Amino acid sequence: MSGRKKTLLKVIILGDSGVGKTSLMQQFVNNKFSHQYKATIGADFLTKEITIDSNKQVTLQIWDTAGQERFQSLGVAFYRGADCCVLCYDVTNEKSLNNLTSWKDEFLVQSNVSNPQDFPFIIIGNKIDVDDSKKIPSLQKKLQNITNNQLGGLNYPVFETSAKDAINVESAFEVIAKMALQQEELNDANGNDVSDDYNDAINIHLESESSGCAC
Amino acid sequence: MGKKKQEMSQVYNNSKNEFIFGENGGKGKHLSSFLRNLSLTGSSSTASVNSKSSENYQEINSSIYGTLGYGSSKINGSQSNAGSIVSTPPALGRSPTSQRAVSVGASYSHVTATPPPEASVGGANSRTSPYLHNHLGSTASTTSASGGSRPQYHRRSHSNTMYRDLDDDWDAELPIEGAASKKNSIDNRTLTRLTQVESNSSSRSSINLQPSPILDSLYPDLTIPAAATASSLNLNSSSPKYNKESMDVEDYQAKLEINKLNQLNTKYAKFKTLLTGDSSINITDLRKLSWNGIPQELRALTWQILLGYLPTNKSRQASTLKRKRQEYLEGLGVVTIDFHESAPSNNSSTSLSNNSSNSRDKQLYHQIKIDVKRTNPTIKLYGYPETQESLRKILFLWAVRHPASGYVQGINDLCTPFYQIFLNNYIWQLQRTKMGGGAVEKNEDVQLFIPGLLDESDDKEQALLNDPKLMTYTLDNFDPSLLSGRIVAIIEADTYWCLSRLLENITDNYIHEQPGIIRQVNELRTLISKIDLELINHLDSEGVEFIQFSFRWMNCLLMRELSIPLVIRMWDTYLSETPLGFNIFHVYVCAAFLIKFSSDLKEKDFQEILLFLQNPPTGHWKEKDIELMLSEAFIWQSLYKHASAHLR
Repeated sequence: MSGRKKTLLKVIILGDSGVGKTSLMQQFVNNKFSHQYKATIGADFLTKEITIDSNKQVTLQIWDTAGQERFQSLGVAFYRGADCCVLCYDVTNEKSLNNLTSWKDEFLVQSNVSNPQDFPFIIIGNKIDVDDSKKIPSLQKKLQNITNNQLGGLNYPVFETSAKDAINVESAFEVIAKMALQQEELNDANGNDVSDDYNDAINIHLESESSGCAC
Repeated sequence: MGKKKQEMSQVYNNSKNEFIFGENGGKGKHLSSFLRNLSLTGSSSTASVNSKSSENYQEINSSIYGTLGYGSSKINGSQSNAGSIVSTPPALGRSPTSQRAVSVGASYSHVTATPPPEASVGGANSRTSPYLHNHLGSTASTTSASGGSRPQYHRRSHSNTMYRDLDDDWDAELPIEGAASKKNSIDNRTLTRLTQVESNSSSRSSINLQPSPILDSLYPDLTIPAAATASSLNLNSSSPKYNKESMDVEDYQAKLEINKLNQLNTKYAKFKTLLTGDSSINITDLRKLSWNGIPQELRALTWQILLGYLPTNKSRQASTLKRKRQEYLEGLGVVTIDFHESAPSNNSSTSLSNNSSNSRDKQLYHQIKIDVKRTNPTIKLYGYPETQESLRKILFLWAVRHPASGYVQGINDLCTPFYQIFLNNYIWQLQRTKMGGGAVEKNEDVQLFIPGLLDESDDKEQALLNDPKLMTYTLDNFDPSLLSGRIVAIIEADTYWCLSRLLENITDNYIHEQPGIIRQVNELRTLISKIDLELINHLDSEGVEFIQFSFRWMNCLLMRELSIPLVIRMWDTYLSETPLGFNIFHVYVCAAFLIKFSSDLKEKDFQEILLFLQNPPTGHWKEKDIELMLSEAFIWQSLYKHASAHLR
């Protein structure tokens, strides 16, 4: 399967509202930063073709999701078929750091991936360009604490980035692409996962509607 | 305080707000809301017009469904044809028809076996009337006859050929307009013809009185009436349209310009008459008039009336507004958040000063704060700290008063049209006040002012009135720091209450799991599958799900897809629908929106489709594009609204 010329890799970016998910994606795909992004509603995506290991052409399909909790039930429509999940926090916002675990859990619940134990996650702390005084005090320790205790002690790669100043964004997405490719190959090897669940969900809605109309 | 409570509860109870306090809007609730929405047509319009007589019913119906003789015409079943229009007693045509109504009437004339009003007003809304069945059956056959490919185009050419022969009859029915059009009508399209009918303000009676074989033949065409409606919306007096193809371009454009100006004048005059005429404003007439767009100067006033915020009874207007504005201030008084933001904020919620506000409020405020900062970021007005502070107050108060939904991203977008329309109105009032040195002139304008804004003892207002630049101020160059605290509070209060009214219609869009949006998305899909099967097949084969692109359409009412001036125009129509168009009608608008891009989309694959719809090419859209879309939506609503269950 790796002989295929172009591979499509689906990457999901999750994290609290305002941590800079849209900015990260825009910086990586379009090499630009703007203060004028509106809050993401539902999800947007962009694609970028990159070369991994100097010989493998892949297309990254990056899904930028809405950060507000209220939209979480939508996940099922967007997470399916993901090859890698990026968990974002804001280095100036402790709450966004603490929420990483729930984002991960939410993702696993809704994406229905075949290998939840070793599904590739990556952690990105964004906004390192801001003043140190505004950053979360003893950030490293807290982050350690969270990855060890709540993220199951798994060794997720961690990047600190600035989407504004384009620091570390490229390298983070390189790792993301590699991890996603691995996952994709694993999935191919295991045969494809079918996600009937979601279709069922749709049908239920339709049914309830039509019975509603009939009376 | 007791009074206030009562008032608030009235506001909330006014609509199907059982959801407000239901934390989990599961499927059961979702279902019941859907049912309620279906039956709203009858109940809410009945309530709003306080219907006593069947005449009222007719009025309501005509504003909703179009104007062809409801009431006494008999159900002719499949026999229906243009003749059945005639069977409507002329007496019913008592009021000038709104243009849209006529166009729809015309396009469905084939099936005018209209149900008696009781059927549609009463509980029978979800039942399909025979005429819809009949119609849809025929639609299907039209489509299949064309081999299932691009039914719309097929219809277009089809109807074109049909109209040609019948030209004379048609003209004969409309002596005034007809004479004009005869000269150059031979090559005209159907579109022109329909425009003619629509633009004739009293055409209802003429249609009713004259048997028209053409109306019958109009039937197979769904697209053209829509186009025609919009063009007539755009051009009230329609003569340039007739000449569209036979006149040279310059001539045409000159005429178009003149016409536009005339039309604006006429429109303004009509609104003015309606708004200043009686001691109580006729809301039904106002809706009819507003459906086709409201003059900018009168928009704030009209919106407030259409939303039921400003009473139609003029003697109650000033006092009501005063009380409401006071209530808003009292509401804010209870809130412990400090909305004023001096330093550019950091993100941490620690910036919230006092400890009495609990963490939930802090979190809520944090969300609102970061969203207000990125609300309409490209528009200057929304960059001012004063504007942002106002929006934060409005959104926060709304959220704490509606705990079941709370603040949901997208609501920030929804409050901006109100804010800027009301601000604009204040600027306009000042300008008119300054201009109106002559007493007569001034008096006339004052009747059109929303009460309570002007106050001679307001220093900042006096400064504005003496500002040499006053007459040049618009939303694009006005600095809201020039406003007095008194006016800021009034604009905020009016925005708050109008936003509340709007959101009452779509409460279940923002509660847990957003069942209202899920329903709308499913309805949109169903609708598209009826209107454009090819598109749905293509989307399916590419694996595109409706929720992936249309969730935002519902959540932000297309505000992310269209520029604010266009959204505002769209809301003129939404606010004129009964029930308000933000819920059900909006789905039809979304269908019209999607189908606009149908041929583009059919060429694209999954990624291209989503990328396209994420950023649809509406940058060059004008009001007429919106009006066309609204007209199409209206027609589809008339067609499918009560038919869904039977067509699944």
